[in-house]
Amino acid sequence: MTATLARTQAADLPDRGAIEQFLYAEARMLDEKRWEDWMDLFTEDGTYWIPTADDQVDPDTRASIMFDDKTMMQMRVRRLRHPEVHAQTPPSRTAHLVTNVMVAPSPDGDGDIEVSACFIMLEFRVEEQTVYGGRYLYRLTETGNGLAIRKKTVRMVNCDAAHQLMAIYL
Amino acid sequence: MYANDDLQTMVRPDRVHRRLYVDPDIFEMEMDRIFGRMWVFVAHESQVPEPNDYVTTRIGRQPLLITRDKSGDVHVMFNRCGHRGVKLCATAEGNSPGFRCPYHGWNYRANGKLAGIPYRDGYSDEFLKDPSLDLARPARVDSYRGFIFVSLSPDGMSLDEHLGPIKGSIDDLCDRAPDGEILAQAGCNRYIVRANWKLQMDNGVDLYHAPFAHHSTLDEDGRQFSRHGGGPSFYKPGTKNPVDFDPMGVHGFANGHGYQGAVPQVPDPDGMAFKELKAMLVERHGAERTREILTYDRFNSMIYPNLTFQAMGHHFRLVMPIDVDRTEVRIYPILFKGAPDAWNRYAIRSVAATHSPASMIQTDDVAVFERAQEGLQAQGSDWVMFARHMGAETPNNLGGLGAPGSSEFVLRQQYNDVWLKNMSA
Repeated sequence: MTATLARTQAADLPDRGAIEQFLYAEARMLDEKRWEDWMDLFTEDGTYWIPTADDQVDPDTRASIMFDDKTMMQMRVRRLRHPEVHAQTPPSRTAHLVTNVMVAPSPDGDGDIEVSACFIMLEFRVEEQTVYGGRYLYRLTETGNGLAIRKKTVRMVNCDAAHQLMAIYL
Repeated sequence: MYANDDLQTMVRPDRVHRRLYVDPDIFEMEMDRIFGRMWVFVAHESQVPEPNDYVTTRIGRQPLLITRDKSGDVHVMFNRCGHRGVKLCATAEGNSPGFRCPYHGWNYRANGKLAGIPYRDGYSDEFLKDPSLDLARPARVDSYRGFIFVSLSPDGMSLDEHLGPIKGSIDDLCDRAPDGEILAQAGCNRYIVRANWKLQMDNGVDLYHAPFAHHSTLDEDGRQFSRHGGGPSFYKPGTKNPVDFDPMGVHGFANGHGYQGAVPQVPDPDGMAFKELKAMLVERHGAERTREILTYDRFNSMIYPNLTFQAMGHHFRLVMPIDVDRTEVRIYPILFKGAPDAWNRYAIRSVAATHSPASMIQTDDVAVFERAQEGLQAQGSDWVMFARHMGAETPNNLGGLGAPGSSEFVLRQQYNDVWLKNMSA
C-alpha cells in the first residue's frame, strides 16, 4: 500500500504544472464555447455536477443545479448550438479564472488524481455582468491520450441561492 | 392605489393592460389584495417531518416560520420577534426546540410560545401575561394532502371551497405514491426571474408556447430528451411542423385554477423503478385502479395564485413575488412515499435536467419572461392578448370549463373573475 502510493506519487502523478495547464486549457475551451472539445475531455463514464447544498453528498437524494452524464452533455451542447436557444440569445461572454490548485493522488489508490481549485467565472449577458465562484473538485485519470476528467464537481459559494438563468457550464 | 373603476378599464374579456405587469402600484395592491387575501400555498408538511423541524419562507413579502412541535403539530407563524420585530430565524431549514432572538435574547418554543425574556423584572406582570407576545400567526391556515395554504384574511371562503375541483389534481399527484403521499424532502431549486410573477403563472396553463419557446430542446424526431426516454414528439409525423396540442384540452375552474389535459401517447417509462412502483400500486389498489392512477390525465396543474405542479415533470413549483419586476421561483422535486428509491432518484435527476436554474427547459422560459418584462415597457400597444379560442370553452364534467389545449380562456377567466374581484376594494 505504502509502496503503491509512493510509486503513484513518484511515477504516475503528473506534475502540477501539467495539471494546471490542463485546467487552464479546459477553462479556455469553455470561454471560447468549444463545448464539443470540452466534452471530449471527459471519460465515457464522466460526470459534471453542480449541487444545491454545500454539504450535499450526491445528486440522487437532493436537487442539483446540473448533473450531466455524457449523454446529457451531448443533449445540452446540441441545444446550445440550436439557433433558437433563447437562454443564449444573445450569447454569454465569459472569463474563467482558475486558482489555488491543489493536487493529490486519489485515496482509492487507483492511480486517479484529485484536484481542487478555486474559480471565478465572469459572465456578461443582456446588459448585466454576473460573478459565479466557488471551488472545482476534479477526479482526473490518465488515458492513452493524456489526462481526462472522470468527475467534475462545482461547489458554488452560493449554491443554495436563487439563481438567474444559467445556460452554460461553469 | 387604483380605484375600482380604474382597475376595470385594465381588464377586458380578451386582454389585460400591460400595467398589470409593470406598474409598481399594481404590485403593491396585489401584495395586499391577492397575496394578502386569498389562500396562498406556503409549504408542504413533509418539509418538517420530525419534531422541532422548521423551514422559513415568505407569503408575499412577509417572512414565515413553519415548525413541527414536539407533539407533532405543524405551526405556521410570522418569522418575527414579538419585541422589536427582528426576523427570528435566519436559516432556511433545520431542527431546533426553540428560537432565540439575536437582538435582546427573547426566546420562543417551536410551537411559538414565548419561553423567556432576559431580565424579566423590567416588565410588569400584566405585560408578561399578554398572549400577543407569542409569535404572531396568519389569520387562517389549512392544508390539503400535505399542501399547506395560508390566508392573511380572517374572512372569506374556506380552503376547501377555494380549491374546489382542482383538488382532483392534487389527488392525481398523491395517489401515484404507493403510500398515497408525496414528500418534498429533496431540497429545491431556486431561480430568480427578472419579471413579474404573473408571467410565470400565466405560463402554467400555456400549451401554445411549447413548440416555440422550447424548440431548442427537441431532438431530430421532435422529442424532448428522447435519449433519456422523453415523451411524445412535438412534430407532426414525418414533418417538422408543430403537433396540434388542442386535443389535449385545457380546463379551468372557479377561483382561477386550471390544468392542462392528457399528454397523448405517453409510453410507460422504461426501467425497473417504474415496474416496481407499478407493482406496489397494483398490490395496494388492484390493476384497474392502478391503470387509472398512472394515466397522465393532467399535465400541468395551476393553483392560483402561486402553485403549479406536474406529476410527469416530478416537481411542484412555488412562485414568490419580490417586486413588480422580480420573482423568486422554487422547484421542489416530488418524491413518492413508499416508492422504490430508484424511482425517487430518477425524479430528482430528472428535475435537474428540466427545471433547475441551469436546466434545458426552464432557462428558455425564464429568458422569455424577462424579454416580456422588457417588451411590456412599450407604450405603443398597451394590451396583453388572451384571445385564443375565444368562446370555445364548454362545461366539463368537473364543474368547470374545458377548451382546446391552446385556449387562453383560463387566463381570461382568471383576470376577469378572480384578479379583478380580489383587487377591487
